[in-house]
Amino acid sequence: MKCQLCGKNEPTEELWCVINGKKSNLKLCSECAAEFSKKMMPSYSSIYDTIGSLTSGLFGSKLGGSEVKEPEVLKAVSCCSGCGMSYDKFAANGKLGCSECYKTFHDRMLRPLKQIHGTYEHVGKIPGRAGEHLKASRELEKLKFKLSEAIQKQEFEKAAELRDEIKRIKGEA
Amino acid sequence: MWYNEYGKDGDVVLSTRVRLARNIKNIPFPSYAKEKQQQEVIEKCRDSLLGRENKAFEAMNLKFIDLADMKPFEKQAIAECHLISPQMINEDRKRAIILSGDSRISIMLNEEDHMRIQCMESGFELQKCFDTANELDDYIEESIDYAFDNDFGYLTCCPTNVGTGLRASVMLHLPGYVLTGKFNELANSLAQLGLTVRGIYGEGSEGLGNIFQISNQVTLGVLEEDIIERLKQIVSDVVSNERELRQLLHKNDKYRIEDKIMRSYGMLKNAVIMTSSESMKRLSDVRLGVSLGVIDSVKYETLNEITYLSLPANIVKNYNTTNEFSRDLKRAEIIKERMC
Repeated sequence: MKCQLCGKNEPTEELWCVINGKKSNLKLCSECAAEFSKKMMPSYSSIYDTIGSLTSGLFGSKLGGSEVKEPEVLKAVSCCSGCGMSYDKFAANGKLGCSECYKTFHDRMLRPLKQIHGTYEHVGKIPGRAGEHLKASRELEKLKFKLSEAIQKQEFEKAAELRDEIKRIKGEA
Repeated sequence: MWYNEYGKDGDVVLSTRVRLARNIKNIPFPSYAKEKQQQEVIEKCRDSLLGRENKAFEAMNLKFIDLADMKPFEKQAIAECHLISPQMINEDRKRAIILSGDSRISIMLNEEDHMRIQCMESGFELQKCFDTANELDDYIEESIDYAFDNDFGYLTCCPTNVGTGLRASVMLHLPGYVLTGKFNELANSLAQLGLTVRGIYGEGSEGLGNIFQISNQVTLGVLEEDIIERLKQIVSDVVSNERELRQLLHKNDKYRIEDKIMRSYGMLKNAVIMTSSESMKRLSDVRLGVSLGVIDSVKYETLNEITYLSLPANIVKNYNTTNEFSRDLKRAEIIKERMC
């Protein structure tokens, strides 16, 4: 099997990305993989660089003067399955059509979001009912981290307590 | 109304506003929703807020208003008082609001997002506004499933609002910064701190009456509490600097400043024709005069009342005037009555 982007070299790396809400993986050669991830990842320029004319300009293909080409694989999924909005339309006016758009354009949202907000991860409020599961998993992560810390410090009594707490939460879920 | 009151730090801060943007799961955002879906949004929100019994919320005396039942100038008038955004005046889709008895709470339905929960107070009251909005949000969420993503948080039509959906904004009167030529410097440093500065009616109204809104730009990757806390700190600094600049201005250029203030005061008390932009300018001078103690016979409440009563659509609404000229005549009369 050859690299899925250039079709020439032997694939050496495996990349995962979310396209149209589905996880898919790509087997790429190291050159294509580097190129691909560079295009997908938001740049680390200052978030305030472009503030002023905020929305529309940001999502266009011309960012900071250098033109960013869409990777070929993504062009195939340029319409949202939820509302039918195309990526071009979103790029033109900076507004989305439905919540599904966030899944459809997930990877391409990261860069503009990073530029506006400096990050692309929500850390704030979680809705009570819909977010119960997320709340529990955030709590679990925290406890697991504390548990490994306790084990490392050989605080076994504390570790046992934490282990029981984790069991309890898992049981509820 | 609340916007006439003199609130905390009222010599500089006119009012505070916090809004949360929320959308309902599985319904396209308003601009992409079909008429039936827009109606569904309105009904769901109305049922959620008004269809359930709750003692705590009864005191708010929430009312449902279909904007299709209002005349354009009536909508314009409540937009001038910031109860709805200018976008809500458009009749391109079904829109409604849920308004509290004292107009401090306004929930806009089918604005850019399905719901814009907005809480307002006179003076500098960020925490209070946020707490009320947060409470309402919790209450609505009991019966409505929100569009929420584990990574991106609350999903909104515009990516600039995604995450917390929280926009907190403080309306300030800054003649000290403007008259000392320090305003641009302030605007630049606020931008660097991730805050936005706009005029009293958003883009394009910069400098009108030396009134500005400062609000947070970032809504994603930060805790709601931190957004509020940070804005609180920065605005407190702006408020104390503004007071200092006013004093300095008065100290260094006493006679010119007093002349400017008293001329404006005289105009407001005696003019027969008063345009909207002139009245904003004169009111700004008089407000400065009151804060410096140059004028002591006028109350802030009176100035606030005049500010809103003399806005174009509010004059049309209250006095049924037909053209611009009759509005300007009426405006001069309204102001004179309250100033003397």
